[in-house]
Amino acid sequence: MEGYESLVQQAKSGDTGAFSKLYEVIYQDLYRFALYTLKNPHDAEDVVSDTVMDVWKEIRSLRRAEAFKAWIFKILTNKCKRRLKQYITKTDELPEDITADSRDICEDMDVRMAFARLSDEERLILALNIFGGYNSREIGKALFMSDNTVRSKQSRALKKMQENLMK
Amino acid sequence: MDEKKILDQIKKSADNLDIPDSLKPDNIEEKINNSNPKKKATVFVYKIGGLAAVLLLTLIVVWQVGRIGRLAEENTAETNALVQEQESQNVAEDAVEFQKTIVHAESYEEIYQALSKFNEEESISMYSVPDERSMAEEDVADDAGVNDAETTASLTESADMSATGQMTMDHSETNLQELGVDEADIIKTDGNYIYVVKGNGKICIVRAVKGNMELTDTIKLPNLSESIEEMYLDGDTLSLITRGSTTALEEGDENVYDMNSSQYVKIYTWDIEDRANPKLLGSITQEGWYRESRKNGSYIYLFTEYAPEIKERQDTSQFIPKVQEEDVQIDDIFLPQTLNSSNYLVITSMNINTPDKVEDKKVIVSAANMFYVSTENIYICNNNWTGDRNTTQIMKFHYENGKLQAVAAGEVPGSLNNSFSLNENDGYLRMVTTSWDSNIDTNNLYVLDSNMEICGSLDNLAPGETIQSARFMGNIGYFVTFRQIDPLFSVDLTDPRNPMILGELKITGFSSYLHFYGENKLLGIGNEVDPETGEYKGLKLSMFDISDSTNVTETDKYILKDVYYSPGLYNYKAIMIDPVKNIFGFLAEETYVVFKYEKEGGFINLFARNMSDGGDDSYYYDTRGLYIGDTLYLFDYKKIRAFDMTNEFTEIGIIDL
Repeated sequence: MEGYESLVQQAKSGDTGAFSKLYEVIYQDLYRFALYTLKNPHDAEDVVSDTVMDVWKEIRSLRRAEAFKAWIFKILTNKCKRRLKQYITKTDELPEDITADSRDICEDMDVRMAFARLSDEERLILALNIFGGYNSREIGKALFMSDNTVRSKQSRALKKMQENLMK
Repeated sequence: MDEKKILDQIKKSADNLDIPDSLKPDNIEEKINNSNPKKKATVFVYKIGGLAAVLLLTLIVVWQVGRIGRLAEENTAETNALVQEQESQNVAEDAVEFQKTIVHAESYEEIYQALSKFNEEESISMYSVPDERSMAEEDVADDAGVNDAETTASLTESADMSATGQMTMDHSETNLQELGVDEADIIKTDGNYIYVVKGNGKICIVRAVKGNMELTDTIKLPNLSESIEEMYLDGDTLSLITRGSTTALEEGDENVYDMNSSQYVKIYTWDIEDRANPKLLGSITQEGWYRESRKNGSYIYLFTEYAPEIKERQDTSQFIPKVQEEDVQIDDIFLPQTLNSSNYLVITSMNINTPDKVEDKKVIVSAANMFYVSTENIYICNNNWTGDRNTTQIMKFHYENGKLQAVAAGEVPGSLNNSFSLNENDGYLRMVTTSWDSNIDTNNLYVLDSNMEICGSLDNLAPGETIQSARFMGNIGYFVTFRQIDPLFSVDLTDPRNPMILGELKITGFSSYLHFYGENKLLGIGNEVDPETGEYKGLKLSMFDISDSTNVTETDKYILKDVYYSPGLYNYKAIMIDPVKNIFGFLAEETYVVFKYEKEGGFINLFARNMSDGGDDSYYYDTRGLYIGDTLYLFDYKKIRAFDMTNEFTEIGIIDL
């Protein structure tokens, strides 16, 4: 994006308009990532909103402008992981499907249902790849795995996806 | 399977999502503008508060360290306090130095304060990466790597008499990291019977004689809501590690109830002398979810992770883990000066001969990203990222006959690939790490003395590459780094203070798992990669001749084209391997393959069978193999199939479980 660094600089000096422009480019992916990881639209909305507010508060401490997107995703990832943990420790039932308002076509629904049946970890890995644009190495760093492990897990998750889709 | 196509399908399925209005850029901008402009200042003041608290904590530690006689730390801790005082102007950086001593907690109150503080800081700290459930599960699966001794898997008891008076056939064993330290698994055999975890809630005991299989008994848990994680087999004793959870309603305000749920892990021990009629001997229980376990002699060491609930209204039962239904006593709890997580690691030991009793317990307020257990010590490793720098923090606990003792902690630059990146020899801990420095990966080798001080090191190895696998034997270490091609490094560790690179072999592809395979041979299992394009071409077997450590050569290779998925690449227990019997097997995509290796003929494929026809509840993608005598058995969580290895692996038996 043109003027990306200068937008980050402006945002760092407190320009909400500049921050908003930076946010505009990625907010859809942030939401998609959170929704596909958490399967719950309200929680996804919450974590994205929380993340953006945190990022705004802390943007001055961002050292490298080019890391802006990675930084937001890292914070969002951590928040999602914490939510996932709460689903386990609290008794909330996770929905079987990714429920969301959308203008769906059947095939998308099927894909989403198949995705929802993956494990927490598998959803997280695939969502980081697809919506965060991370490679296996970067995902590995975020989740404390070797990139090989990420690749194996991703292959396995996609295999499961394929099987789920065929059912 | 076209992975790209499925990835695209998933991406496309999200295209038409309606994004909630509250997240639209205009609304977010408005929300920011409306947020309290003083917020920044509040955060700032809070941080100073936080640091003051850290200072206070440091002083408490100094006092306490002196009191319990760990004098050596006093001066450094005081210096740290001074340094922090000077730095208190500059609060943006977290500047508490890593503690070399594993310090006891003073009181429950102190723990509560530290946890509350950590949780508050978490909510505003950006770079913190707390340990989470998803990662916790990860580490268990992530420990692929290398065997420590040549013949770990090969307990060739060439047909001796077992306690039950039956002939015991030679058979494969769970693939272990460390000779002498047993690991739990979902499948075990003693040469006469096969024991498998079925559907999480049952153990099937199957009599297996030359491919004839018969279900002898099924062990069900006394509490049907619990499920089985893994098991240990020791002669006529079977110990099951299980998990469960409880939920209780607790009255807070009048007529208002909180839902408190907690997770626990139990070890049930069964006497299976009469295989058809197992008797439950007893059980122990501790809070948390299962991380890992090890067994040495008669003692099982169990690691669970416990997440406390930090509420305003505090009750020790909500933030102190329980072992055997009782809050862990303060004397057994360690509280590091700087927390890396608000979770606890709970370590207990039990003797399978006294299955109702917890022998010893130690609890640390800490994450645990990775475990390495030698025959004498438990090492708990944590990845630590501060800004752009990464380090590994390691806590060392000594164990012996069930007794646990905190020894020391250490820190080295870089992070670990998996538990095989660590190895203890003669009191020294040798480890290889990859560090991220100025946007480039470099690799290091460190030797730590018994007090966890770095005494020898090699750094800046193979810049731009990352460690993929490692393995140590005696005075020599081997590790593989990778970017486009695979250098296999060999290191001389004879003088722990002065490690030396002996050689570097460059070949295509890389090994993710290394296993000593008989005299002077090292087997690598990994991936073949096109050195020009970086494209994955398939799964690769390499045999290295290590007779001359300064000149390691790849004598043979075998590529399984278009095979990318193998559970063995990240879970070493999914590999069946016995160098003495000269056999190894694993699942490659949908096919279970078995190989042997010959000096003249290289790798020879003995067997290949597609496992994907196992039916709906089979987990064929985690098929496990084992052998007893001349029979190969494959378990897909639903069926066990038997194959005659003396007759071209003909399928000779099948049992539905």
